[in-house]
Amino acid sequence: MNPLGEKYLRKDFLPFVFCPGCGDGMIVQAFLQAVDDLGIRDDLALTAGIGCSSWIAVYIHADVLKVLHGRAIPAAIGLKATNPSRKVVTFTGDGDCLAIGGNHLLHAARRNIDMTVVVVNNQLYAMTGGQVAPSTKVGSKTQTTPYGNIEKPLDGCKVAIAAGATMVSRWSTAQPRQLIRAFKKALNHKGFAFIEVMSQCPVQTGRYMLGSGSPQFNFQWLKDNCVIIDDPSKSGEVEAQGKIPLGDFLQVEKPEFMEEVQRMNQRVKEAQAKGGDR
Amino acid sequence: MLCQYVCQFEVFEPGQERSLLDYLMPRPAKLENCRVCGLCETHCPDMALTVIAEEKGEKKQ
Repeated sequence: MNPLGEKYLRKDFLPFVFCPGCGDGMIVQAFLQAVDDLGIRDDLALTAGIGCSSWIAVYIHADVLKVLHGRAIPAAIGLKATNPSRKVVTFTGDGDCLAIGGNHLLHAARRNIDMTVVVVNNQLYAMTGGQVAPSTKVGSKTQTTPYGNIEKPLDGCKVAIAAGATMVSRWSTAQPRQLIRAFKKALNHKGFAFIEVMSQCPVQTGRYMLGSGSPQFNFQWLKDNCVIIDDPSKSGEVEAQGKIPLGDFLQVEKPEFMEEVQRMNQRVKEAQAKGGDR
Repeated sequence: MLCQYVCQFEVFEPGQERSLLDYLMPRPAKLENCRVCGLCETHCPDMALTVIAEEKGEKKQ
């Protein structure tokens, strides 16, 4: 096992339950490389929901809250509120975060809570057998759309930006070095960081949507269908070609929610000390 | 086998040993071709590979 695995993984949980060729293991490695480079192991606190992607957090030897489907973000908010010094990271999937967990994503981003949300997007609900998800492309065949998906997909990055996230990136497992850099940026960012990772799923996405369960085919599909852009305004052109834009789309500094709460508490205490309500 | 797929120098080939989950594992058959690029290590979904560069004299191997 490579040194990162020796240092950071829970050995009694190994080997990974991920399917052969699944991108989740690559995401584990990229994340651990970022954590190792930053030296923040003791500050880390992870939450995860339900799904293949949520197993990423379970393998990491850190404080982990594995919660109900779609509820990893509120658990992370509670964790951050009670332990503001911790680096809180949520591992979730496209179904977990954009469907049942969509409301939590909107408001955590709106409040700009200092946390990182990593959404592993394999374009369907994989763990339960390959059902259509909010991220599934129009026309895609899945277990629940055997004649093709007729719903327009949700773009997680655009939702996060519109809701108020202050750092948004999308990469795929085919760009591990850029993914490591994005993780480091997110962990150092003060505010709500949203990272979407396009990941290969040979068993479900590959077999039903793309026509092959070969990990190499699915990995090549990501390389062929994801386009790196330097200018976020070019994402529309890439999407018009039916491809997926990748890159660092947004990073701004805005007041962070927990700090604003502390400032408000301080103002309230001062006002009460002066004998008034305001 | 993503290591074999991403390797530009044909280091890996299918092996005969099986993993704990009973999958046939690749093996580094042509280590002499390795350029220590690390692509296999970063792309392995099971974190099973370590690439180590050894310095020998004035040249790095």
